[in-house]
Amino acid sequence: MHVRCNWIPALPPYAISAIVYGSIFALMSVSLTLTYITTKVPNFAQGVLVTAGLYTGFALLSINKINPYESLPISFLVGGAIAVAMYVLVLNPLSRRGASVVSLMIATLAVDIVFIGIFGIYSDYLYQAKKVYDAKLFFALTSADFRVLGVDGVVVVAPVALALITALLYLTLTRTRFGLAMRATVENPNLAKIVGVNTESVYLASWFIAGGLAGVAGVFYSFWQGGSPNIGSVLLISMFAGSILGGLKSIYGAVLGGLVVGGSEIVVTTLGAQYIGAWVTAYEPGIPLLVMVITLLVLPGGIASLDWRRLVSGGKK
Amino acid sequence: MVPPLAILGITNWPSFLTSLLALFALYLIITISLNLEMGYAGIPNFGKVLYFMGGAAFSGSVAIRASAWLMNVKGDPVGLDNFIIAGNLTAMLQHNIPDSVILIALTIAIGALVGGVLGYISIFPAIRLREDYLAMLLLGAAAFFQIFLGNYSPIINGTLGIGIPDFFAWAGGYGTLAATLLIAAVALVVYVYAERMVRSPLGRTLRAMRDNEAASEALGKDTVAIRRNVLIIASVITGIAGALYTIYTGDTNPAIYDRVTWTFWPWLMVILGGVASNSGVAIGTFIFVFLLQYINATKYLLQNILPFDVTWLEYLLFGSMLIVILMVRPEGVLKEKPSATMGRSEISEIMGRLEDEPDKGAPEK
Repeated sequence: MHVRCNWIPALPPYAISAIVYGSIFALMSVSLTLTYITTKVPNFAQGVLVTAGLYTGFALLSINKINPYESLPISFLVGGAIAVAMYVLVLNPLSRRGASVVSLMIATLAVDIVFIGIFGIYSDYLYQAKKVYDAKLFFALTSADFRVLGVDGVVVVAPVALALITALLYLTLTRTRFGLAMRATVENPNLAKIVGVNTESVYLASWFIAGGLAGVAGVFYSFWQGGSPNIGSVLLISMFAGSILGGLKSIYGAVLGGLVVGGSEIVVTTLGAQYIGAWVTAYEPGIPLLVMVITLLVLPGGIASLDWRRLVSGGKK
Repeated sequence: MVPPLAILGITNWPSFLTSLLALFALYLIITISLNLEMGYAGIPNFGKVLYFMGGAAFSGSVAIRASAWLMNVKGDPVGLDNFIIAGNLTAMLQHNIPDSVILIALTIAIGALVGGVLGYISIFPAIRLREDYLAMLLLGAAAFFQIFLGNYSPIINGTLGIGIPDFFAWAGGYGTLAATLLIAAVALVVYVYAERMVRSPLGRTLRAMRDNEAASEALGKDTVAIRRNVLIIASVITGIAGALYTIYTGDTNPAIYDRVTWTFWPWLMVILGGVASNSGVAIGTFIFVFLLQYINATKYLLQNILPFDVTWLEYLLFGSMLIVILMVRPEGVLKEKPSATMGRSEISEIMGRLEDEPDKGAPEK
């Protein structure tokens, strides 16, 4: 989807689309990174959280006529609650039993499969019992969006939300006791426990925030592109690409990584369609894969491993 | 009309059992190869569907092109006339057993080749990356390959897919049975091969490598080369499974190759049966395939009661089943046994000889 915009004539429309799309993926990648740094396992059920937030907003709009922006806190809560349930019911018990990383990965895949069933049943229920006839595939919820400065609301809301959330996370991590406890737990859980940090509640809080952010990103995505019950697993690879590009361990890296992956999907396909041929658009899902491969080949530690000071000073120490 | 008698909810037992055997044998080929990779060589392959898809799609494409060339049929065999051409070819091959057999062999060979090539490409990440990065990359690669097949029409006509001629048309009404027996025969060969491999010195090296890589390297084992070989062998086997599936179903379509059916279910079967135990994996595969087929054959009984599609319950059931197995019995139905070297009597005989005359038991120089 592309924005029609006449107040920033210098920027081509796809540049604005790229920023919006990138912001949505940045939120998802931040969420994924938050779960990764705490449990040290790539959560293949991350798409579930996005879909959950997206369908919460969609269902409240279709049945109760509540605008998804108004129900954003509910989407946040639903995403957060599902993430906490994943952690408490599946990942925590398994890692207590000493399960390997591979077992934990396959467990998150299993959770993803369970939710294919749950979302399938829920969309059937919306379709049959609630007569929501686009429950299985709906297009961008532009009609529910507001207009601001001549563009759709989400064009402004998504980047602003990303900036606010990043600032909030930064302040929380650096200026609060909880942030200190969280950084300590991520760095060395055993040492954190010894100095009296309740690591368990830190994990729970991280998963809750991660789930909530994914849910919010899902709502933004529905304003931009629409949705379907399997949208989370479609977007999963892009989320991972963003996280890996960010270094998998850095929240700020994930913000940049998500922006680059989401943005380049738009920019590359638009320019590719213009200069190479329309067929390029179909291969959009190849871009996150390419980003992953290039990152792993060139910069395995991701953006976060770059030494900015050395780059700026031209390699001098 | 009298409704067909349903015993335990199944109306047609012979056809149920045939398809059960076919699917069991097909999944057994995949799970045995996955077990070689993950159970013995320690490569958690989360992109199983990639090799299966490659084998199935390319072998299908070559199968119909080769049959059209062999029978001198004009037109684009993977274009819009695909189904007409496939039908004509089936009719031509109906009384031509030698050509049918050659085409079957060719299809399987292409499946093996494509699986092997994809396996060769996967070596580069597989020996360098940590397991979590590898998993993400392979999942992504499989997703992209599916999109590639859906958009690049010369292979299998994009998302429309293609039909291939029925190579078992000569068997008349027994065509499905013949195809099933072919899959079963391949599965048997693969099983015996894997079983012999893991009992050989190579199998013990694999376990040593998986359990302590540094120690086995110190003992002079080239772990990179071994891991590479296992990955290629397993990929070839999975490619063959793909080709067999194309022959069995008679068509190929990108939508068939989703990661749940061809990556996740095989993982579930291996974990259910017991990692690093071929007999356990066979049991796990059978239990799963039986449940899947039984649910598929009887779900019409539930469909009228439930307000949603019964298929969703499969996902709920099998997904939670795996979580429960991982929690309650992570070693699966059959635990990995200590590797069999020599029989107990042989060992005690050598021990006895050593005690009598220490020089005689030692290996000759």
